[in-house]
Amino acid sequence: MRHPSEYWLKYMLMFSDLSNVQISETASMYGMVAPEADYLSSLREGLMETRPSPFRMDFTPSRNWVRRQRFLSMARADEHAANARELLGNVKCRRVVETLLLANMDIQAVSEFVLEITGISVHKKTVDLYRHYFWNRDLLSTREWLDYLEEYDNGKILASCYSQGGEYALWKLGHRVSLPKEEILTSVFHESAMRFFETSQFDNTRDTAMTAKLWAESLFKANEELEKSGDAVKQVLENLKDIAIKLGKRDITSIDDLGET
Amino acid sequence: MFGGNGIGIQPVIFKESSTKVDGIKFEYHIDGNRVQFHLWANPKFPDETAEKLSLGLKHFPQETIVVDFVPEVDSWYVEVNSLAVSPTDSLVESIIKKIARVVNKDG
Repeated sequence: MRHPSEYWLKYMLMFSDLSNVQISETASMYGMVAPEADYLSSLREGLMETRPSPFRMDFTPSRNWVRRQRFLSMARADEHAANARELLGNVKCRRVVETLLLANMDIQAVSEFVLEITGISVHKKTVDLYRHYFWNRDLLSTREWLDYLEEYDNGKILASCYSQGGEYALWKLGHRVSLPKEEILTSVFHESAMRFFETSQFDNTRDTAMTAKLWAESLFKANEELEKSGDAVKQVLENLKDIAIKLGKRDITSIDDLGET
Repeated sequence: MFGGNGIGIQPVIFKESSTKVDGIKFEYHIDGNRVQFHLWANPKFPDETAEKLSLGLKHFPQETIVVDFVPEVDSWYVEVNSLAVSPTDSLVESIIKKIARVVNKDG
């Protein structure tokens, strides 16, 4: 199984002088799921086969090769790469960063929410490099992520954030965000409709009938609310239009003028 | 004797872990590249404690792990030695979390 810290593991294989077992043990100590032995061996093999000889960082072909392997910033201990590694030891920030990245939140937003939730400022480049080296959402398929999270601390919660997105992840982190009412009602409407259709595939039992009834009720209720909110929005827009027309009739230059209308 | 000085023996202080494990109170001591643990019943050790401890430490080579019951004090002694990286408090907590996952899952 692939590992979300693949680029860091590659860096360790190339630069740490540790054996595969020791690297696996180190990953485990950092709270990661220990990478499988076969996987580490295949990574090492791939690296050894393609690395230039002699392999020295003052040798341009070596540096280019490391860049292509995508662990140059770690090899050079760039500031943000080093900070990203430090995040591994920061329980509070790490939890927030991992949860939000997994929910596919934009890097800038992750950085802002980390500050808001933990009070600690983490530069967006650090977040980006943490994503790249340690928590690479794009590297693993959905199935691989779910398998990985099964072994991971708080994996169940993280798995739900993976599928539910940013707002849900923030809620799980105890952060309250304002939600657009119409969007939520539309989601409830959609979910209820799909669940209702789903019941047609079940056996026609009392339980199925009851489930279908409950989803139908939820569907109608969401629809009712959506129509209500739609009307309310229309009403407000109409009112605004009236005001605009009235204002257009006069040349208003001050608050006092506005009061006379 | 001893140049007039007494023999100074530094006390070994074990630190309580912040990670909670069902039925076990963890205390640890970092000594170079090894970590020693004293485990106390809280209030009662879970069933098959030895197996669960070993399972929680399965990612470490077997020869670097000690898991022993100490009947005199009714506690478990666990040691992870020859670690590749120097252990810190947060890394030790991480080891305990791995054990907690196994123990807390089964109750």
